[in-house]
Amino acid sequence: MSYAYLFKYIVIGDTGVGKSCLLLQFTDKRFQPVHDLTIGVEFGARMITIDGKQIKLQIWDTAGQEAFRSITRSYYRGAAGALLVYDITRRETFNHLTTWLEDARQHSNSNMVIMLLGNKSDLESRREVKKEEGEAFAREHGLVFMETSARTAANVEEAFIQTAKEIYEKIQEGVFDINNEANGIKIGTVSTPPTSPIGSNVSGQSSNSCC
Amino acid sequence: MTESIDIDIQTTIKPNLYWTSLIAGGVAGLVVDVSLFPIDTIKTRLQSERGFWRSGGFKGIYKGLAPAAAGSTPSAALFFVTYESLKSFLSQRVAKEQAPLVHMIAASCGEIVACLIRVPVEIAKQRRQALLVKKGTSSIQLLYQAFKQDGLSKGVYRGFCVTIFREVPFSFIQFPLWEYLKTQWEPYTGLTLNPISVAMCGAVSGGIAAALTTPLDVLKTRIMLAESDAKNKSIGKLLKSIYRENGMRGLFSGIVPRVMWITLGGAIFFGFYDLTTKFLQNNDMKSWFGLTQRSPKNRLSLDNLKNLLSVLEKNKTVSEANRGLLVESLRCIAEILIWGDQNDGSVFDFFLEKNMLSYFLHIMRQKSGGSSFVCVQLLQTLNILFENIRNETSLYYLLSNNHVNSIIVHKFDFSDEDVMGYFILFLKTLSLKLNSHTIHFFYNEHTNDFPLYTEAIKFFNHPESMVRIAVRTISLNVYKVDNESMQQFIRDRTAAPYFSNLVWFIGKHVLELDACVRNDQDHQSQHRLSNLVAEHLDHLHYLNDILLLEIEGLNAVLTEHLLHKLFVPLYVYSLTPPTPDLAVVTRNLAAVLNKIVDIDDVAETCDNPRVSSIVALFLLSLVFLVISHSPLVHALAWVILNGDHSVFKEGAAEILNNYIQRREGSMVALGFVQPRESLEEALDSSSLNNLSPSTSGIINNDTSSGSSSPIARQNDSSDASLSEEIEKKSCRPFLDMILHSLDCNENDYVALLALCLLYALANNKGLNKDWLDLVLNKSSSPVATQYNDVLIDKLLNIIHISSTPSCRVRLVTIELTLKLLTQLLNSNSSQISDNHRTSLQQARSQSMTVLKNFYKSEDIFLDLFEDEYNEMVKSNLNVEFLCMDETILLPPTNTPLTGIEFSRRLPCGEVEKARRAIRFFFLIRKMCQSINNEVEQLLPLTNPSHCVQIENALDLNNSDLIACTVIMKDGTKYRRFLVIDILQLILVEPDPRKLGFGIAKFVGFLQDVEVNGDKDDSRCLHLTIHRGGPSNNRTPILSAKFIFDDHIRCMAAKQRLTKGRSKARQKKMYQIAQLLEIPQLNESPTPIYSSMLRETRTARTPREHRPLFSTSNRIPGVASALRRESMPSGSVSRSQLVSSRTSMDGSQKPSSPPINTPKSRDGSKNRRSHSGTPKSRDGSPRVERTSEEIPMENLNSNPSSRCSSNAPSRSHTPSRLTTDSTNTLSLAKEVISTSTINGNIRQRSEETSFIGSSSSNGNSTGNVEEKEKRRKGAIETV
Repeated sequence: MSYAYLFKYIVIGDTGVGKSCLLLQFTDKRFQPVHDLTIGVEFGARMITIDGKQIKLQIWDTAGQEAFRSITRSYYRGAAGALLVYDITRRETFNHLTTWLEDARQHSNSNMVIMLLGNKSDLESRREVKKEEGEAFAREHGLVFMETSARTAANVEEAFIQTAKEIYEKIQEGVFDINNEANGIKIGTVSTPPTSPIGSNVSGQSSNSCC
Repeated sequence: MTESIDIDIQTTIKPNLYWTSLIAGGVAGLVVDVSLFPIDTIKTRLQSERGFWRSGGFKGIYKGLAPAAAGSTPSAALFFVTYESLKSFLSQRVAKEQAPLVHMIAASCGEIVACLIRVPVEIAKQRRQALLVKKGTSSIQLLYQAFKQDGLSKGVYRGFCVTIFREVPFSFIQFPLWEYLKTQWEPYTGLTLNPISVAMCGAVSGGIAAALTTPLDVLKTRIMLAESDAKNKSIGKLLKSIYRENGMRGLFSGIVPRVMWITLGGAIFFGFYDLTTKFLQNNDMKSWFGLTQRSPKNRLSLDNLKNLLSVLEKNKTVSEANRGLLVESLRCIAEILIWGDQNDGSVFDFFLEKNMLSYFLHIMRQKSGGSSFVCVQLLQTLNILFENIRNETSLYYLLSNNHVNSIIVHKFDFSDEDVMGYFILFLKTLSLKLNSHTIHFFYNEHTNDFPLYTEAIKFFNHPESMVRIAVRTISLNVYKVDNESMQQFIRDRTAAPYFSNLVWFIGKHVLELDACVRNDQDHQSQHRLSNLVAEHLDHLHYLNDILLLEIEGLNAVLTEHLLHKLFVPLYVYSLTPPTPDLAVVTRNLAAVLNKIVDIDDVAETCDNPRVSSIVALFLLSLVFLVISHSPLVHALAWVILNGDHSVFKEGAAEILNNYIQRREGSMVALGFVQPRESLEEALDSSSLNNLSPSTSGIINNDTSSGSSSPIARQNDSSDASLSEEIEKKSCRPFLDMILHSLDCNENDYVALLALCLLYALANNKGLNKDWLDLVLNKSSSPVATQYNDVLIDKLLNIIHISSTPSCRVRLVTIELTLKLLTQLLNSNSSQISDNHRTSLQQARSQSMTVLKNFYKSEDIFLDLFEDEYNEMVKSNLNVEFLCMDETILLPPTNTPLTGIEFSRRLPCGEVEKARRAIRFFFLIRKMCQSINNEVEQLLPLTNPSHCVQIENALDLNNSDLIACTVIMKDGTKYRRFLVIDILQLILVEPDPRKLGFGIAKFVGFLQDVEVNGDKDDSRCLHLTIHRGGPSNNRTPILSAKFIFDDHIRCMAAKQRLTKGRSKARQKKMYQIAQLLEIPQLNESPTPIYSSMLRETRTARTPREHRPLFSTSNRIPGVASALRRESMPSGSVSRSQLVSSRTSMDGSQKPSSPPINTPKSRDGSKNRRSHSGTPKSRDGSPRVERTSEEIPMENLNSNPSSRCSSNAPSRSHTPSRLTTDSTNTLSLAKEVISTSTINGNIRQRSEETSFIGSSSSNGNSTGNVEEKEKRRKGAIETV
């Protein structure tokens, strides 16, 4: 499958907040969430379209790597987007956000788009973290915020696509160095060439062909 | 949903495709034709040659329904079967950009096929519709009649060509349009595609196509209705004749019903088509047509698993046709297994019994079309399986036969990103399940097979960073497992090949980094460099993580590889400049010694790759910052500090021997060279041949023959041997080079990196401090230098250079130098020599001289000064972070355009020069104080403990208060009283519990106040208070509109704020002057101060304040009222205050009588009676209430004013400032401020001060805690 860009995502947050379920819900809709059966996966890819361009999202949820310092530090750097997830029914997962964010900011490239997700929004009765708190946290740290539910699939799609849109906008603005794969963005093999920044030779060629 | 996913889904449902489209098409066709038949009839009649009314008008509108209904189902079904299968067939073979073409072709072919049925039916239908048929004739008879009359092609298939001629263009327009609309639906509307939206797409595309193809339809109707084809005109002629007869209207006759019909029809047709398709897909086609047995209703059950097994059994070969089904089955199996893991044990029994993993393997091994598609699903299934399983037994079941290992060794198509991702994460998931029990499932002791590990490390240099990360995780997870034989296997079979390749990989990376540094003197590719540095750090951390696991054997191998393959031959080698004449020297030496030396070898060493000394220093710093494995860092440190060039020939094996216990002779040859075998080859060969410990890491290089022979262990007391060793050495080229680099006469480019290395060496956890001292100091030979002293001298020299105004030393270098210097001086047990001390003092006075040049009374200097101080307090130099910064690898620059942080570049412009001078002054001041064991007393300029905090309760008796309304930006309003202190602006609200007290609701520093008048409202002020202090937040702490009661108060407030601001600033500038020991300021106060004093002494100011004091009825509290009584003039004049204060200074204080302590009750009564004056109550509505509960200390603090109204001078005593901290009178009657900062300045500037005191005493009746919280004090006016 050809694509214009490939964006690498990571999903971070405490264990048990439903990271891998979110991922699976987004990448493979055929897994319909069933009561009392939670299935997750640590890797997935899906195509989306932004601005008429095919974009492949590749999501890496590398749970269980916290034991080694070398792993945590390199993990963040390879991603263009990160979904920072907490569980609205568990206060402590919300409290740990600061630590996660610090880690992410320290190790990632500064342009990484981070989105804050309050997962398990379907469990309204057991809610411990108010939506407003999440919003306030996001505002304070300059993140985009959404409440999602991997079970009902609410906002899951939107969360991933919204993040991709922000990355795409950053590319358009020229903030991201797209030629550097370490930023978590890869230019696709086929299809439209990337928007070249003031490509002198490109314009030269086109003027030649015009005349 | 995107096109690609469309295709995806279509391929997944492929086996059902024919059936689905057949049924869906049929249903759709039938529904449309039946529901829209009347419109069709009307259209036919409109187009008929006989005209609408003669053909029947609205009569018998359902004529011909039967043949239509009979024909529409098969023709629509035929159409869709052809269309869908052609589409899916073609779209796999054609680029996505040509999708419209695919749709056109598929639709056209579909039409042609469908017409085989449609044409005869149309003929029968239209003849009936146009009432050309006699009653009683059946449709079959009708067709038979036509067949008899005109034969097959001219009768039954009359108009076949013309129908195709109509339908094909129609489809050409409609289908690409429809497909296009479908793909655009989601992006534009944001809704998912459902049958209704599909229907709408169909309606639009149909309508457009119908309108455009109307003439062709007219033509077709004419031909078909003609009883016999007597004229046999060509299509063109027919069109012309229609045009001639009826004009454009003729050509487009019936356009309205046709468009309407097809629009409606399209909607219904496509809507029903989509609906039926979805319906059929969801309901599992298989059960409908007996492809398999009936699916049980419960998806998650053992029964369903049995069904799925039979699917696997029946579809052993993967083909285009069944792969979708297989994928779906695999997916379901994963779900059921996980469900079973948590709910039903029998599921796993069944899974095991039927050996279902073998089916997986079987499917995987087939190289049929689209195998990667099935493999992705398979790997996903496996991932899900192993990741989500919680039950230990289930896991053992899954692992029990060797299938998982077979899956691991299977050669997937790793060029596919998704396959790669799923595969490596599958291995990672497995590695996370490893423990001393499960290891046996993966590692086979007898065959020495450990595919999980060996397969994983083959990807150690995969281009995808996430894959590399996963490989590292896997390897670390493997090493972690405590299993003797497995670790033996790792060490003997895999360690050498893996580590040699890994080290080579790192080395190549380093060369790349070096090239980047060399070519980037202009900071052009900082991004790339930054990534390279980060990547290199990842490697180092990974190596350190391995070393930290403390696996002895493994660490020994790794250490040797690192040392002999990378650190010594590349890093250390690059420290000293290339010596082109080395060969010459050797030759001479050889001549002298009469020995034959292989000069080629020496030459070869010269040809070795080398990195710049900058990079080498940097890399070595990183090594010592990250890695703390004792043998490795010791050996390397030894080489650097003590070694000479001979190390490149002999290696560091000897040194290593001192630290590694069970070292079996040196096996790793020295030299930065590519490993002979790639890792993959090495692993394969070692597993195949079962060779004795792999030798692939060893290169039998002649140069290293000396080192490869095992060296006898030296004696155990390493220290002794070491010191002997040291004595022998007199030449330490590497250490000399480092020390030499510290010279920063020109700039500090190299010096900073050398400092980093020295710091890293001194702070490495693995290095023994004594040992380091030993290496540095113990040089018994008289010629040898005391390196420690040399080092200190060098560092002091850096400081000295930095103190000159035009130096080119960055702040970070200075900071690091000082840090290192502190460390060295502290570790040196001996006292700091006087030389060092004087040198530092000199630097300090030099820095003060420099800073004096920048000392101006401009506002910005104060801000800079405080800002720099805050910055310095906040930042604590972290060398590890510093070394993550790639910019230190590049030559120092001064332009901020590079984005380099200020302290890591040279100052640019006057302001930055001032900043730098300030910061250097702070740093050197701190250093000097620390060596002299002094405590900082003058910094920071504002002592926060002397400031009012929010919620403090303040005694505002005697204070100037201006009532105002504060309107915040968001519209909220507060009623507050404005109080202005020496340094602070305070907004208070009356304390409900104590009369005359206020609670601070807001505090801000006067120096940060910005006041603007309002041109529309003279009672208004716009106040912005900026945020000073050590915070990153740059939003103002307050930005609000203040409304006063009248313009006079407003003006007064403005004046006071402006004055307060400038005074606060002057005061601080004076403090700075003191810090800098600026002489003239030391002797006499600034001119402004003195003039102020003069002014107040002449007592001209009181008038200005008068209205506020005397007439304001807003002033709460008794004091003001009292004042009025006591001072007929109605104002507290500052001059009076001052004069009284100065006069009282010695005498008044002790003489103020201890009246109050015992009279708490009386006092409160007294007070109440005072507060009874109506004037004072006006402004403070709470007086009545508060007076009831006045705690005692309130009285205490203001005794004189209350008790004797005739003694005005006494009322001022609370505000007295005194430097005498031992004055205990405060307990009873006076609240005393102990001013540590500039006591005399304060006195002179005679501004208000809160007199912090801990005067609360036990005899008070009030709540003690309450008192603690509250702040007692009095405020007096400016």
